Amino acid sequence: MNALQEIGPGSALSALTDKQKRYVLALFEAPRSHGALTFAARKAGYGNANSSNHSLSQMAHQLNVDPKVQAAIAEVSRQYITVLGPHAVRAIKKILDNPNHRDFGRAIGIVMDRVAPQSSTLAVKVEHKIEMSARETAQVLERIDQLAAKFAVRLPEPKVIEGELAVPSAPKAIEGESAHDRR
Amino acid sequence: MTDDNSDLLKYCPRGYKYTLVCAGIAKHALQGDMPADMRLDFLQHLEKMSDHFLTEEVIAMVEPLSAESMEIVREAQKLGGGKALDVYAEKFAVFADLNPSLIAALKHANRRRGCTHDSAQLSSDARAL
Repeated sequence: MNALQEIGPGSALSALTDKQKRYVLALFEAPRSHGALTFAARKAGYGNANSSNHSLSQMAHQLNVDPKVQAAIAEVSRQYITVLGPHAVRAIKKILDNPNHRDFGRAIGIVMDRVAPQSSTLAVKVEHKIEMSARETAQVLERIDQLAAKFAVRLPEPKVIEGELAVPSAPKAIEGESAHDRR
Repeated sequence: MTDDNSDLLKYCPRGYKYTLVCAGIAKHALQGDMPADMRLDFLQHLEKMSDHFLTEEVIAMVEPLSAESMEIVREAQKLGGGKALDVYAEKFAVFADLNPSLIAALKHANRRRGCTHDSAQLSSDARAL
């Protein structure tokens, strides 16, 4: 079955005239890339029996710059590639069935890459250093105190984290030694 | 609510009313625990509320809203930002009953301006808001 016959009309393709549709589909049937535009234009029915390749080429160029035709070509291309999937698989299978084929090893590589892709583990260590600016913090706290005082706002007591109240104690006298002795 | 206060509220522009309520809300929020940057934002918000009529001194007189007042605020906030402010202004008397400092602040602002319920002056102030 011809791959193009399997493609159903999409929205972009259906926006074209019948002649334009034929042109777009004929682009994919061209026997070779060189002269494909002329071939497609002639097959779609552009020109007449006496039209030269040059004039057909110009007509094809006009068609190719039309955004509607471009959208249809892109659409058909996507569908075409999907339809070609089984063909490609069959071709690779054919190569794999023949160990003497020159691309036998390459075909194995292609299949293995998809069946059992190589996995690699990358360990990324991200270090982020937060530097507390004591000066900035002090400025913010000072501003808070200023504003709180200005607007008579009673702020809650600051939380003390694992802190102990430091009470200054009198210096201990050394046992058996008086102030007079030390002098 | 005394007659004197009723007159005061009658001629007070709604902008001043809801600003005083907002000051009470901000002060209520500032009583809770929050990061220092957020606390600074709230205080700067209070600073922005003050103008030539509702001076810093007047804003300072406003006491934090009580839990009951905050219930009304939460209900009003369900209506959305702009409409909530309308509710604060319309229900200012209720807020003032629960928090007399609102009336005291408004009276102080009036005295400071040397006007006693001068509706024309208050209206022009409201336009300036």
